[in-house]
Amino acid sequence: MKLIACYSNKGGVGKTAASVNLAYASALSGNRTLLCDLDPQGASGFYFRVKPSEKLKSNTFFEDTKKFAEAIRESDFHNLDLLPANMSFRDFDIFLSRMKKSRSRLNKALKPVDGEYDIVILDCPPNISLLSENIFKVADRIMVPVIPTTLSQRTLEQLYAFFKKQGYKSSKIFPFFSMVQQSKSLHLEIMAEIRAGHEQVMNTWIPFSTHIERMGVHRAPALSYAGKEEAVAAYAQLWQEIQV
Amino acid sequence: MNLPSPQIFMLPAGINVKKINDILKDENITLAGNTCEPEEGTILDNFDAAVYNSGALLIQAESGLIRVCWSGDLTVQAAPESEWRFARDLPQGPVRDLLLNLSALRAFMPAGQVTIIRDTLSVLDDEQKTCCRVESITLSRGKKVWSWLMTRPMRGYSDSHALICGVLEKMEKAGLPADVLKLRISDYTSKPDIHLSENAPARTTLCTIVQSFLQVTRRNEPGLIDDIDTEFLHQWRVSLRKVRSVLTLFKGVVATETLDQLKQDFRDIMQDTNMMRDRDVYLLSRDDYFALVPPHAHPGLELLFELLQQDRDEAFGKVTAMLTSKAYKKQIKSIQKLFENPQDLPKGPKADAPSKVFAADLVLKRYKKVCKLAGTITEKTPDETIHELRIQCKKLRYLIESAQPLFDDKQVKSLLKTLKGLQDHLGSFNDQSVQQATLAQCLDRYPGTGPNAKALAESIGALTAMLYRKQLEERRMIIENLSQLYNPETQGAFKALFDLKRIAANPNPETGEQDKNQVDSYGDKNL
Repeated sequence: MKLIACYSNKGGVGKTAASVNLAYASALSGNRTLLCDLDPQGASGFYFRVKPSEKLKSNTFFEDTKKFAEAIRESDFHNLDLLPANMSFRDFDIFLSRMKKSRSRLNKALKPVDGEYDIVILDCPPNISLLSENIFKVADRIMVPVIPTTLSQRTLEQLYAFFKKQGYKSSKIFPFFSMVQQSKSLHLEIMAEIRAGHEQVMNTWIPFSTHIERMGVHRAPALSYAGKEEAVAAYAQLWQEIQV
Repeated sequence: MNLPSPQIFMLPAGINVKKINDILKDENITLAGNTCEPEEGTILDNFDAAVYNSGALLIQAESGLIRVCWSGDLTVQAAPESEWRFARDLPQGPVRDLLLNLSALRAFMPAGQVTIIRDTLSVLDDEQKTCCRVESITLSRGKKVWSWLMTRPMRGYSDSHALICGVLEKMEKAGLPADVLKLRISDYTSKPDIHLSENAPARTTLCTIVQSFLQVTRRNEPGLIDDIDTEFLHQWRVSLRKVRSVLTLFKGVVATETLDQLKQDFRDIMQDTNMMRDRDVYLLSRDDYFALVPPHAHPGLELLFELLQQDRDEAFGKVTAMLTSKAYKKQIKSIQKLFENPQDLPKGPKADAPSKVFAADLVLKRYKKVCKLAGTITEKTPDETIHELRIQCKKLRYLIESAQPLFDDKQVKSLLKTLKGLQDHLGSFNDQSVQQATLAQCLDRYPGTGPNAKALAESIGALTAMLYRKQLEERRMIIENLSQLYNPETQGAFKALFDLKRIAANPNPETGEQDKNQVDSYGDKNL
């Protein structure tokens, strides 16, 4: 079971769109895939029409591993299941901070589904918290969407600095450019700058696209209804690159 | 994983989505079907209705070759592009695999035209999220409709699954498709249910058995004449052989003169079919033969098979001529008539013996005979004795099978199963011997010079060597498994079924140990 986190410490960068479409691409290429919606805003679930689980409004969520497995919902797409967001995730950070050795909690929670899935994709909340740190520790890869602007560039550098300070493996970080507008020369310049500074930046980048924006209308992964559009197909290409 | 098991429903009048949604209106879920175009399909099955009797329907439509097992699952593969009759002719796929397992030798034939609608319905919640899928097949013939539904539960949505199952359960009215759709499914079986009564005179029992087997013979004639598949001839012959065996084995029931005449009749009737069956067996194993010899012998083997095919075609001509002749029809009808009324069958001294006692005695005597013969077999025994053992074992099996309805069915089946291993080896041993003889004949019958003759001779040589090697192996296996015949367990089983006097004296033997001690005498190879 490979654990791939989609993480950004800045909101509105196309993180959920990436999680949803990467999970779809993974399932389509034959992997039994679980998408965990860890973002309290619960947008991943919204895109799959899956309601937040009523049963799981409990702080002991990650403690009770059986409950975790029971909360998983099958999506409308073959090979793709979803762990819908739970409002108690908001309190999850607080809950974790109270616990000793809390950093191993997420790993423990994922134990019961190990073997059922080939790929687990985590749609992470956009902050640096105990939950995020948990993810930094257990994920095999951390995909970081970056809009090529100076502000996003700064946030990415902050993330690298945080990893270094905390002793996490920054080799897990794989930035990819998101919502790219080729007509903007600043985007192209910053992309070049970031690539020059970091070796692991993905070759594939996701263009800004109304087809992706319309995911909220379709309530389905863009790849499932507009897979032939160049901007949308970039997710499939990105997934191929991640798998290599 | 929290996933309920799929459920199956059969509806007698199609799927009424509107009606189902009316029932579900307070539940926040709806059922949605797709607009599926109906297509024409053909129900396929073979002469012994192997598919239907396994609890399934095979339907060929443009969109696919479909197997619906009404208590199990739906299997689909792409519709074959070309005509096919045998499972082996189909392109690779899951339906082909199932059919090969079920009936590798029989041809599949149309059993009825149907209109088919295949759909996957979805149970949707108020966010239009699919919570459960329902696969469906609806078949119709005129006004008759039969629908089969199978739920595909989805993880995390057990409640929706339970709801839809509850609705479908109320609408269900189980009925098998042949009844609902009035399909013409063949009722043929090579093993008819024979009802015998224990105390009836042996002559009555014999007549019942012979009549049943002769019916099997007659039912195979049309398919044999139309050359639908090789099983028609095979089962035609087996049924006649069974008749012949049971007549001989029920010693003293029929008057000697009548018996001799009947034996002669059967010899005459079957004579022409020997060559055809022999060549059928060869042609069916074509691929195995090619695998047996090295590739350089393959061109020669091609020639050999061309010759065998010619033989077969010629033999088939003779057999159909015989079967369609007035003489045959008259002869077989008069044989059937002879057994219609037991009183009319000229009787022998044992004709009035009570059937069960009579049959049990016959089985025990024959079993002793087989054990005695088996006891003499060693590494040095000539092949002829092994052949004799095969014949004796076969007679024993035919006898037990014929008398089966008089005894405990389960026990008889288990006994026959015990003997099967050894009998299979005996059968293969004989096949390889017959096949070597056929090859030798081929060599004699097709003399010639030139490259073809050389290739043919080489392939026959290579094949004979391989068959001989296999035959030696079978011989070794026969000797190794001989004890299956006379070990204490088999003896105990024979005694428990057929030693009626002992059963009457001791109806419930307390332990198997006691049983074994009592039958020890059979273990003595000098029996």
